[in-house]
Amino acid sequence: MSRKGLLKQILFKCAFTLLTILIIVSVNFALIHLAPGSPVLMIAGEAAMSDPEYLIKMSKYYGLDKPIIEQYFLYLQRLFVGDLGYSWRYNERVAVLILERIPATLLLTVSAMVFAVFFGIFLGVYAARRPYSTVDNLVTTFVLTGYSIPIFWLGLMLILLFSVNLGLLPIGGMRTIGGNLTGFDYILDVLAHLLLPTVVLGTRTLALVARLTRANMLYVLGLDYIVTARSKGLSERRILFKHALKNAFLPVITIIGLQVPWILGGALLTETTFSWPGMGRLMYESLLTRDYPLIMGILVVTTIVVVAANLLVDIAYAFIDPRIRITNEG
Amino acid sequence: MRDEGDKLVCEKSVMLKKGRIEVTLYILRSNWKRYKKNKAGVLGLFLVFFFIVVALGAPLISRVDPLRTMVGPPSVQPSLTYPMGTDDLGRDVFSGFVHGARISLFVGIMTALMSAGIGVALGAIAGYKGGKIDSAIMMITNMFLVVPSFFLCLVIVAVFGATIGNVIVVIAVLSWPSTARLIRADFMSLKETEFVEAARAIGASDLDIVLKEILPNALTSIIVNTSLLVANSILVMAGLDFLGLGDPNVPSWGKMLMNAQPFLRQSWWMALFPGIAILLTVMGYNLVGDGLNDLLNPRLKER
Repeated sequence: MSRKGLLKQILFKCAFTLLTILIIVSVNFALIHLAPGSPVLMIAGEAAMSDPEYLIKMSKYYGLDKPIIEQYFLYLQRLFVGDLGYSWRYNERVAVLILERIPATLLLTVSAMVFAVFFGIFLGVYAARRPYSTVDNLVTTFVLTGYSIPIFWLGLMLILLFSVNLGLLPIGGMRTIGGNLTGFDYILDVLAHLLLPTVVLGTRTLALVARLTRANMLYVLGLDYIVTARSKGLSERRILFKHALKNAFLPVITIIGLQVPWILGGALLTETTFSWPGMGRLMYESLLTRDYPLIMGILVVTTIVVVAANLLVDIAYAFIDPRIRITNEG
Repeated sequence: MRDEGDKLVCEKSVMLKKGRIEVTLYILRSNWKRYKKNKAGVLGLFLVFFFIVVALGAPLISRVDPLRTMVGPPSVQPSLTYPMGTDDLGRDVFSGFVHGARISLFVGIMTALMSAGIGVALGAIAGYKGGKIDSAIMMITNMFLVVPSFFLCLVIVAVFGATIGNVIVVIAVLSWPSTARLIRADFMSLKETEFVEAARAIGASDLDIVLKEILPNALTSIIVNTSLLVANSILVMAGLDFLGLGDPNVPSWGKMLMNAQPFLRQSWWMALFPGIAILLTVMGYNLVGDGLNDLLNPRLKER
């Protein structure tokens, strides 16, 4: 495909991404106004209902007395400059609250992704080496359990085993409170806290990647060029990981892109199970207190993150595999 | 004369119908023979039936009200009287295990049917019509696919209230895109087949072609997909319940796990059994989906 074509495709994808964000943001706006109770309650939060002065201030600030179209554009305008509203409960701007929590979520989701892709490919390749062997059956069973298990329950069971019974790993949080650790000890401490949540969050994606890799490997291993490689006398490992995996890996990239929304949803559950101080945990806390500005703010931010991640994966895909065009179909 | 003709047509159609039933039974029987060979699929079918029986017979299996507190002493280990122990408020965990099957299956199946309905309708239109309509529908579908649906689900349920109806509608509305893509692909390839061309040649309408010619042939992938949708919906609902966004008046496995979390150190049984129930139910529908897939698309198995 020509350079120009590729550029056009990418521009089209960018437009699609912006449109998706705009629609979700509009849904968000509609939710605030369709919800039972007055919009001012949604914006100010239930806790603020006892403070009439604050309510009047908020009404004015958000222009709730103006026509709805005008309010909509005001809302978009504020979003555009990064004003996600104000959380009454935390007494802080929503944007600031979310920014504070993003690093923890990023650490968790990225390590879960890396864990899932690395071990998923490894398991998939080994299962495909001898189809219907014991190893393959074990992997298949694991895969099936992996995508049937509720991850928060897996989290509870792992805490029960490794933290409560064996006392090997911390029960939750991101660092030992009052540990005052520095340098290498601090990193080790965070890693110990990170281990179980990573496994829990990564399991489902690991299962999907392993299943897909296995299926693709079985297909690729039957192709002529592998037969050629075999007849050249290359080692089994070289054939599996160098020749076959190269082609079997491509569809996995698509799955990674499509898994991003799921990973973030899973992060919410994982962070809640392990008291991990990320954005998901913040979402859970704001749901409990019905802190609507915070809830809506997190929804907007996650949408932008997910959609942008998908855009990146699509672009990466187009560069890695020139045969594939980014289209809106199929 | 005319009466006799009508009678003849009538008899013929009865015979045809009878024949059709026989053919259907034959297909079912021969397919069952093949399905039986897939041990995982049979296990899945067993799990699905097991939990359906548990759900239907719940009031008979456990006469204790799962929501009533102080049925027994609080936090008792599993014993003969309380096979799965009691929770921190003295509720019977076994009763929750049994009665929780009802809401899980109800929400799972209703959501899957609704989601499949939306997905099949949109996928069929997109695949059959093609062109601009197809592009427009696929654009919407792709949009739904990249949206953080679990977050959206939480927000909508939090805003509009955690009633069962809301939960079903929200999960269904957010989970149809995968079905739509699948059905679209099926319709795109099926509409090029010779039997569809033949139907078109004898002047069948679009609606007739879609409903009578293409849909029956796409039915297999619809059934497989619906089974997988049930599994997914049960997982999503359990997640909502675990986060405290379930209907408070209905016993559910997710809510039991939410209650179990603070007592993990003292009462492991509170967390163990409801999770096993979710795992086995979801696994059942996944296994049946996979088993049917192997049965209906043998090509894939060779790969």
